[in-house]
Order: sequence, then C-alpha cells, then structure tokens
Amino acid sequence: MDEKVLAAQKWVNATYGGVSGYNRCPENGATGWATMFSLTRGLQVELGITALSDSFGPTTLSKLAALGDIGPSTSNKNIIRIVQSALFCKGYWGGNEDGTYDAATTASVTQLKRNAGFAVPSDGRVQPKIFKALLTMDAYSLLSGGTEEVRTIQQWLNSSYLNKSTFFLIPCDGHYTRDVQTALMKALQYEFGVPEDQATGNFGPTTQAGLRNHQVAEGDSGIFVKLFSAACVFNGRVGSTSTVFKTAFDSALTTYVRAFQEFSALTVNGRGDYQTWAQLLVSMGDPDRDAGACDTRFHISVDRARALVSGGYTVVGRYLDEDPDSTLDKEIQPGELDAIFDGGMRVFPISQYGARSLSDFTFPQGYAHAQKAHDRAVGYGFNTGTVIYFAVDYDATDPEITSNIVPYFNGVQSGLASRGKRYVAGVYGSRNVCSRVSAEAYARYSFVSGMSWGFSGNLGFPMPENWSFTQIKEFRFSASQTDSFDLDRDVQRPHADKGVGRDGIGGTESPVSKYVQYIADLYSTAVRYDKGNPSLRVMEYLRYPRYVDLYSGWQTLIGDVDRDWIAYAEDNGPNRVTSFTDPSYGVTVHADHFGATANAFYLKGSGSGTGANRGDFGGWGGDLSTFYGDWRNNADSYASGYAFCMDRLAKLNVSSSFSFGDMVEDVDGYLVGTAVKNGARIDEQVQSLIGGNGHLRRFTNYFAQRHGSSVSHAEDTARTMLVDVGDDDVLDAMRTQAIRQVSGWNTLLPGYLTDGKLDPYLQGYAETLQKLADQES
Amino acid sequence: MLTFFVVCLWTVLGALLVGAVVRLLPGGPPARRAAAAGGFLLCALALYLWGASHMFATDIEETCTLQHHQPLEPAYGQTSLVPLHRRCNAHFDLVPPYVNPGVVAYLVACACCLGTAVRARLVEHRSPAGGRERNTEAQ
Repeated sequence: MDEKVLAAQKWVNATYGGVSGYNRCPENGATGWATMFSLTRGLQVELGITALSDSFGPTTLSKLAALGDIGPSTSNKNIIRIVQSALFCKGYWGGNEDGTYDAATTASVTQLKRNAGFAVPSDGRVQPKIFKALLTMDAYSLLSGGTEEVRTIQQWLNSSYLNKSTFFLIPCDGHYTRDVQTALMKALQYEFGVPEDQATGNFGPTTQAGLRNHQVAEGDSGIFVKLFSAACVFNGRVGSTSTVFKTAFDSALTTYVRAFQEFSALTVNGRGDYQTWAQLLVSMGDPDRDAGACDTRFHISVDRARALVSGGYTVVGRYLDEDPDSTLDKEIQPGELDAIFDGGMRVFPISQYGARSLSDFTFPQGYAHAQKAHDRAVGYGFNTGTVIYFAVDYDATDPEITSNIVPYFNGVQSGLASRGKRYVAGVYGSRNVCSRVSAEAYARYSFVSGMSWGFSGNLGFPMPENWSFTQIKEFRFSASQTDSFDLDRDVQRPHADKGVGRDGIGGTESPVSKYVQYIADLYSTAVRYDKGNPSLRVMEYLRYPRYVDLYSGWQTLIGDVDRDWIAYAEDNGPNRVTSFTDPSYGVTVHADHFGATANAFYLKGSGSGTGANRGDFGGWGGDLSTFYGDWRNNADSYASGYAFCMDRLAKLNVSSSFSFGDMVEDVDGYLVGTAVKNGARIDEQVQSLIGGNGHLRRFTNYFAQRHGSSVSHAEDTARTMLVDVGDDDVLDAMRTQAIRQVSGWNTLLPGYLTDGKLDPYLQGYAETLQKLADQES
Repeated sequence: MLTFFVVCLWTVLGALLVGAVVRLLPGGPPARRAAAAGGFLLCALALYLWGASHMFATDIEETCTLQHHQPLEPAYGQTSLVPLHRRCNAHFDLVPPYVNPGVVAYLVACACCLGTAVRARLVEHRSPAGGRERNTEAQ
C-alpha cells in the first residue's frame, strides 16, 4: 500500500471521473495497468482527444509533441500532475503533486532517464516517448531474477535507437522479454539499412537476407558482433557457459557459440552463421535446416515410412487417440506401428484431446486424459518408461499457464500415478509453456511448438533446457508421385528422447529391472562375504570410490568403508550399474549418491525433532549447504532466497547444485537408509521403492516421516542444519567448509544473515518439499 | 608464463619474509642459517596446505562442472598427495599450478640453508680461532 500511489489514483479518478470514455482505476494504493490506463485516458482528455483509449498511440504522441517537452514551463498543471503520478507509481519521488514541475520532479525524471540508459546530462524534461514509457508498468531498475548484463544491453538499445521513429523505450529491468527481443530485431533492421518507418521487428525476408549478409566470426568486430553478442546474452546460460555484451568476437564468444550450437542441435562451428543467428532470434530458427524427425495426423504405411526415411526423417510423432467427436482419424491405426518399424522408422506418442483453448485445461481433465492416454498406450503395447507428450496446442499466455496449464499437468501426473506411473509425462507447447510445465509439474521432456515464432510463449523466451523435439515447419510431403500428405518437420535433439523402436513395444521388462537386479546381486555377494550387515556392505560398495576418503569429506563424516569388502566385491560381485532412469519422472538417478546418503542415515540416523545431524548432512543437508553457496554466488540477481529456490531448487530442467535428481537421491537415501537401520534389507527396500510402487509416494512419505508433513518443521530443521547443529562442532565446520568451497572464503554464512534474509531461503526449501509431496496425491 | 611468475613471486616473498625474521634472531651464522632453513620448511608446509585446501570437494562432479565449468572425465577425480593433484580432466587441476613448483622451491631453499649451516658449523669447529677459544676455556 503506497500512500502516494493511492493519492494519485484518487486524484485521477476525481479529476476525470465525469468524462465520457474514462475508466476508473481501483483506489488501492497498488500500481497496475488499470492505473496506467486511467492516467493515459486522463492525458488524452488534456490533449483534446475525444475518443479515449488505453493505448498511448500515434495520435496521443503527436498531440503531445505539439506541446513541446513537458517541463517547468508547461502551463497545463494536470499534465504535470499526470507525470508526477506516474513517477510515484514507478517508485520515483514525483514532487509536490500540486502541478508544479519542481526540482524534485526534475531530479526524478533525470534519474529515470539515467536508469533507462541516457547518461548524458539531462534537461530533466519529459519528451513524448518518455511520457509514453512513464505510463507503462516497465521498470528501469534491476528486478529480482534479472541480470546486470541484460540490463546493460537494454540501456544501450534505448540510448542508441530512441531517436528512430519506430523505436520506443524498453524496460531496463535485467529481464529478457518480448519487447526486448523486438527491440533487438528492430536494431538489426536499422543497421541493415531498412528505412526507419519500415522497421517492424518482424522476422521477415528482408531481415533474413540481412542476417545472411552479416554473418560474424572470431576476429570480427563492430556493430553486428555487438548485436550478435546481445542475442547470445539474451539466450542466457547454456549449461554453465554464458557470455557478455562485447564489440569484438573473441575466443570466449566462440566458446559460448559452440555450446549454444551443440545445445540447439546446429552444426558446431563457433561462428555466427545464418542458422545460428536465426536460432538466437526466433523459435523456429532456420525452418529449412536438417530435421531428422516429423509428426503428422496422417497414417504411416510402409511405403510412406520408406519415403520419409529417404527424405531424412527417422522418427515420427503419432497420436494415441482421436477426439470423441472428431472425424480426423488421426490416431495410430491397427498395424501402423509394424509398418513404421518395417519402413525403418521409430515413433513417439502424442496425447491430445482438444487442447486448443483455455477451457480444455483443468486438473480433472489432465487426470482423466492421462488415464486415457495410459490405457491407449498399453493397448498399443508401449513399454514402461515411454515418454508421452501431452499437448498444449495454442498460445497460452503466462497467466493462463499459471491458472490452467500447470494445474492440468499436475492432473496428468496424478492420473499417470493412479495407473502406477507406467508412462512418463512430456509436454508439447510453446517455449514458455514447456519451460514452466517442466519446472512446475516435472514434465521430463519438451516438444517445442516452435513454428509460430510470434507466439507470446515463444518470442522472448529461450529454448527449454530439456527439449527433445522442436517443430519448425509444416509442409506437404510427397511420398510418391500420387501420394502427398501434411507433415510437420521436427528437429530431434541427440541423446534426449530417442523415441520408440520395435524393442520398445510388447516388452515386459521395465527399465529399472537391471538396477533392481544389480542391488539384489550385490546383496547376495555381501551375504557370501559374511562380515557385518550385508545391507551396509551394499551401501558401501555403491558409494565407493566417489563418496569416500578425506577430500570428499565423507571419511570425516561417517568413516571409511570396508576396503577388503570392496576388493572382494570387485572380484566376485556383479558389474557396476552406476545409474538408472527413475520410473516416476524419467530422470537419471545416480546410485553412488543414493548409496552414500543411505549409508549416512544408516550409520547416524537423522536429527531428532528439528535437530540435524551427520545423517542429514550426508543427504539433504549437504545439498542445501552447497545450494546456499550457489545462492550467495548469485546474490546480485536474487536478493530473495525464496525466489532463488523457486527458480533453481529441484527443478527438472534447470542445472543447479541442488537438482531434481539430487532431491530424488536424498529422499530415496533417507527412506532406504532409515528402513535398513530399523532392520529391513536393502534389496527388498529398493525392490519395493524402485521396482514396485514405493516411488509413487516417495516425497509424501519423506515429508511425513522426516518432518511430520509440516512446512515449519522442515524450515526449522533446515535452519538448524545451516546455522548451528549443536554439539557436533566437526559437523558445523564441515557445513561451513562446504559453503565456503562454493562461494569463497569471505562468504556471508547463514548464521550471519538476519532472519528476514535467511527465512525466505528456508521457506523456499520447505515449500518445495511440500509441493513435491502434493504433486503425488 | 603466469605460473613461472607466480612461483618466482612466492619464492622471493618467502625469502624476504624468512630473511627479515632471521635478522631479528640472536646467534651466529650457522644458527641463523638453520633458522632460515626452518623458515623455508614452514613456507613449504604452508603452501602445501594451501594447495591441499583446494582439493576438498563434497561432490567432485558438481565442483568440476558447476564451479569450474570443466567436464569431469571418468579416469580423473582422485587425489594425489605427492605431488599434490586433483584433476577434473587432462587439462584442469583443482590445485593451482604454482603450488607444486613452489613447494619444491621452498624445500630446495631449505636444503641449501641447512647445507650451508652445517658446513658453516663444521668450518667453525675446524678453524684456529674456534680451537684457540676452546683451548683457552679449557684452561
């Protein structure tokens, strides 16, 4: 509740409430678009415009320009008050609010312009385009989650191109968004020589030609390298590689470009060639590049499959079912899978019922659709672990993703779980739909609908980290002289979802049986070794050699393994299986991390109540500590620890020091280690958790057993772990060392943060646990 | 090139430090040299421990990939104490490159000082002045 914003809202409503066409804004002291629109309409009234509108368009701009710059000499006091109200709404001090353009107003306008990229001495007056920017919700200071590097580019774009007739002020908040991307495209167009008034920011033939003529590589410098590096910065980190805004194409930029090209499945040459430019700027990239996959609603015969293979397509996406009231006949036909395989292709299944409007997406519908998809997939014989792509086939806006799309996918996960999680959920949709559904509803892979580059969910968003297919063009494919049908071209990402071949149909073995058998074989080997608890021996073998010895900290934490046993097992035990694919979410789970955590909980138990001990540190506690260091390293972009957790903690498609796989390993390690401590056998526990249905409720069980399903209990336990575990000084030292190792010797440790600063971080952790548990019911 | 420069820097600093401390000590040249040897030994130990502190990693994969942006190759990741090494891959070592050469340089300096201290002490025993003093005292 801001007093000045409230005063502004009251003033604008009181002044213009009686004018026809004016829309009142809520008087609640909170700024928003409604307030901006009211101020815009108020300005239009002052300019003598009768047809009022929310849009600050060309008419408003030209009538404003006729008045000259708004400043101390402006006679219209209401216009000045509108300026002052807008300044308050943006968080600047607007002045005395009496319609006098005083020193405070001048200072604030100067400050805003400086934040927006205009460093030269300012006259402190409001030009028309600045006025337009004042009446938006754009911010010119760094917002949480934004980066300084992006902000630098935003400021540079503003100061370089505001004088162009088609360029308007963009936000300088450090966030890459649609307006920022459009501004970059316009900048390219101006530099290509496109006449000012024709630069629309659209990715059309002129822009494409311009890019082809301005390819860049190491050793080049100048404006196109600058714009290219800006596009690279906007695409963000690729894995752990990122780059900065620069004028000269150096080897560091080449390194980034190579990483980006590999991530995007482009030719890796380190150069800013046309395909790389296109991929940086629009979601379909170069739609005519090599694409090894496709999808269609038409039936694939052996001849069609052979023709597709000749055309370079080796995988085809096909539908599991038909809409009840549809006559399209799009689903996989009897015998079609054999035809696809005989023709030399693989397949990936898509589930889509309607999915073209918002109302198709609710939790109950996701639940029902998932059950139907499961039943259909079983009918076709798809093996356990197959990824099914659930479709969002329209341009869902960001608020719609929050209100409907994510809940729909929560329903999908629940529905699949109700059938035992035989299948894994993937998502088809725009880049933003895919990224958010993967982060918030744990979709394993993203099939990106990249064809519509102008979608609100595509323009201004980077490629989802977990993309497996991307749809880049639709066209009519000619299988023969007499047979042609509609086909979508898709790029298949190497080493992601390979699709399903003949061996993926009709099998009874699950992908985890190899791992479950491995644990059973290790257990029998340990029984033959006949020294101590065989379950403990198994855990020791799993954690060797990575989680042993002094320099990993594990020797100090829980002691050494039985070295004779390790030698014995290497000679007499089964071949090592280092990881398996989790049945619930399709992520890779590492057996060594799981084994180490289980070993820690077995030997040390867990803290009682909200206490935390060495067992805890061997699991969630160690990960939470290094994740804290991760947060301190990113403190510039994330003042709020809560926001950091929401963006990076246990997210399927985000690489951080506390990934989703880590969380699964910690949780499974606790469940199994604790059960074994209470007398259970490790092979039976793994069978029931991974081979059976235990994984469906793993997070619920963990949250209940360790924290009594209480968020505040989890928060308090996390606080103990990070600040002071009590009597175990060595453990406190280890935790401090783990943090310092990530963020440096001068890190601000958790014990030195105020409660106001530390609590949101702990809360973010605890709420993530709760969300994971809620996801399962 | 940078490594060579840093090694020289560390050696010179160590020598200056040890020289400054030794200058404050009472006693003759052999005692001073022995003290210098001790000082260099301490420098070697300090640099060794400093290098060793870089090898600590709760999760070697995370340390290599997330912090140093290096791939962790399966053949690497183990700790070696002499010389001090913990590699992520063939090109990248968690231990800074100046540590091992620096430790060797300090140990060599220590050995030299100790050697000259022993030699100075032996010369003292054999020299006439030293003998006359003892003879005088014996009387």
